[in-house]
Amino acid sequence: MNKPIYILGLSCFYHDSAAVLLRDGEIVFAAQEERYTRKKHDEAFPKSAIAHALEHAGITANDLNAVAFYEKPMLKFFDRILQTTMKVWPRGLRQYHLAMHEWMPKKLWTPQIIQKELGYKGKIFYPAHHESHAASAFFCSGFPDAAVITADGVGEWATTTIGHGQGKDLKLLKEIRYPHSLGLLYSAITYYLGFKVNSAEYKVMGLAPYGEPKYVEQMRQLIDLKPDGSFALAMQYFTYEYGLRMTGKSIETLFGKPTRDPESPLEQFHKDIARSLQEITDEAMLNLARAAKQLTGSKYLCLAGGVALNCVSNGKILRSGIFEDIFIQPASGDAGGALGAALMVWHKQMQGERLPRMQHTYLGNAYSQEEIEQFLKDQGMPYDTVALHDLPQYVAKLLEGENVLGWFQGRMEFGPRSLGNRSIIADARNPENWKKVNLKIKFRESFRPFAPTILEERTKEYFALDRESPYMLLVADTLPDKRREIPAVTHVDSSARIQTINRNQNALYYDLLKAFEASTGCPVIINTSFNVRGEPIVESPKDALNCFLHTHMDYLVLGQCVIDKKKLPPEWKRSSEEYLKQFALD
Amino acid sequence: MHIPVPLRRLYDLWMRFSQVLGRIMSTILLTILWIFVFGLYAIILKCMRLVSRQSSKETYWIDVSDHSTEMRYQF
Repeated sequence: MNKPIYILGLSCFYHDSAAVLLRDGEIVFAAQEERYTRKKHDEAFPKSAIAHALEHAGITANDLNAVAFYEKPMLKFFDRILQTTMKVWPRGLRQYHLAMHEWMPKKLWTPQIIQKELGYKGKIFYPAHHESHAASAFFCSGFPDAAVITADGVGEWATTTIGHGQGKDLKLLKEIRYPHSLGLLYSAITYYLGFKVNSAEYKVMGLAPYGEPKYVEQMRQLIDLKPDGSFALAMQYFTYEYGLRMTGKSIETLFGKPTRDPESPLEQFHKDIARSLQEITDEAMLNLARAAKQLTGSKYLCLAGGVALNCVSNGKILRSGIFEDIFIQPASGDAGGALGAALMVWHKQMQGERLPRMQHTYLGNAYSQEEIEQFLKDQGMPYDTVALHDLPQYVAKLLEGENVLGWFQGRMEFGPRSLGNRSIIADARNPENWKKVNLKIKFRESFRPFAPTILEERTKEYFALDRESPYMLLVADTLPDKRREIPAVTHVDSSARIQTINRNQNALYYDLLKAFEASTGCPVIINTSFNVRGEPIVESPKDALNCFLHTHMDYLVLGQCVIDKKKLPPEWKRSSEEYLKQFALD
Repeated sequence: MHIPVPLRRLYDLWMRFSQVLGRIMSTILLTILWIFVFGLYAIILKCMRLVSRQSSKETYWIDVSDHSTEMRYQF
């Protein structure tokens, strides 16, 4: 019997470090470092994620056949960064100093750091950044042949690419280079609207439905969109090439208002800007989709890169009918680059066989019932135990009683979304839950919508969506006759960012929804990530208990253990303010 | 390296001073590099851009279909 082939994929040193372990091409483990260090978007070398991956597989670094890093650091530094330094000279001295202090002691020594941290002396591979993104989508899609679009801030030089995947082969065909970038355009407007760059772009997407597209013409002055899908930014409006900020006075003059101070009140103007940006992004992505179709002739499309997390654009691409089906990598950001890098080595270097479509993202740590009970006993925490076959009905009853629950089960999700294993769940029929969960549990901005999980077989009854959406990456309208039934997950423009669930993907979560449906007739619940604002999604029972105690959740379901906040003795009362202080606002 | 106990405090202070000095020196040296090396190249590149013809853009795509997909190296 052949020894299994282990490939470790890594991403780090920019944002969203992650480690992914493949065994004979199959994903054995995948996790982001932030979940262990509790530092959101942690960019440090993913020591903890790697340790958990190796432990999960029962191997050491000596058993690895290859390590794959998600980009080419030397190309990035000696080509793009230094060339940009010369291009913008005599501006950019501060940025130059910051870059040098980052790169010279750390990022230029990536192979040495990998070898030292892992105790590994074998081969290290470096696919290009956008190759890693493209691979993370195409090789997980199950499509034999597909067009691939990647779009993000920037990799080495490329910011947007169109490629073609066929069988085990994947080739990038065209690219757009820095500084022209859809991701950086989105980040620049995120900055202009007073939100945190590389962190809060999805908030701008959520804000857009509150606005009108009044500034689309001004947006067209920022970006020249060509019919062939290509584009260029008008760099006189952006300062990120040479400065420490994304935009300056020019953009304020263009829109007629200054940059919004973070945490200051949002005005209708800001919502209109968000909406106008979304319109332009949709147009750019649709142009890219048409260009990809023309270049490749494929029936299917794969999407990856940070911009692929824009599920509003994704929904429009799907409904355009340009492609028969699309697959979006659930970990579309740089964490997914670790996955793509490993897959590039497996398929292109080792000619490994293709595997079927990725069915779920439950790829991180799990905790056994014994571990959970031992933890709670060690804490002196009172809890009830519910038999596994009774758990769905028990929890469904709690949901029906207008409670908000922390739900911690099985293996942790990989990627930015919680999909039913590390989730806060509540009744979508109760409009009060929108405000309660936003303000009293997640302590986040009140305009932010919530996403629904729905039984896959009933999706078409509730949403204008005719296919599965297991990763919450597609937005579609709630059907008119259902909007009043599920107000807590219907956004102001009647849209919803949908997660469909079937029993093969997550049996317990599916059974919970079935039990809720049996009791209420409604197959939909609120599913939001199990964390507060600025905090990474919880990883362990300890994280879950901390979050539960310091927020206004009513129940915590850890495995088969149920903790009722009302029954806790007074000594378990905790302050939310103290808890929130440890997390930087995102 | 074995530091005798009476000298440990002095050693710590000296190492902290060396960190500060290192940052000052590297900032000075990097700035000199930025002015005289990057600056020189930058001026030459800007002059070359001034004299080169700016073609009108029908497309912003760059064709990379014949680019190498070699993964062994960081370049």
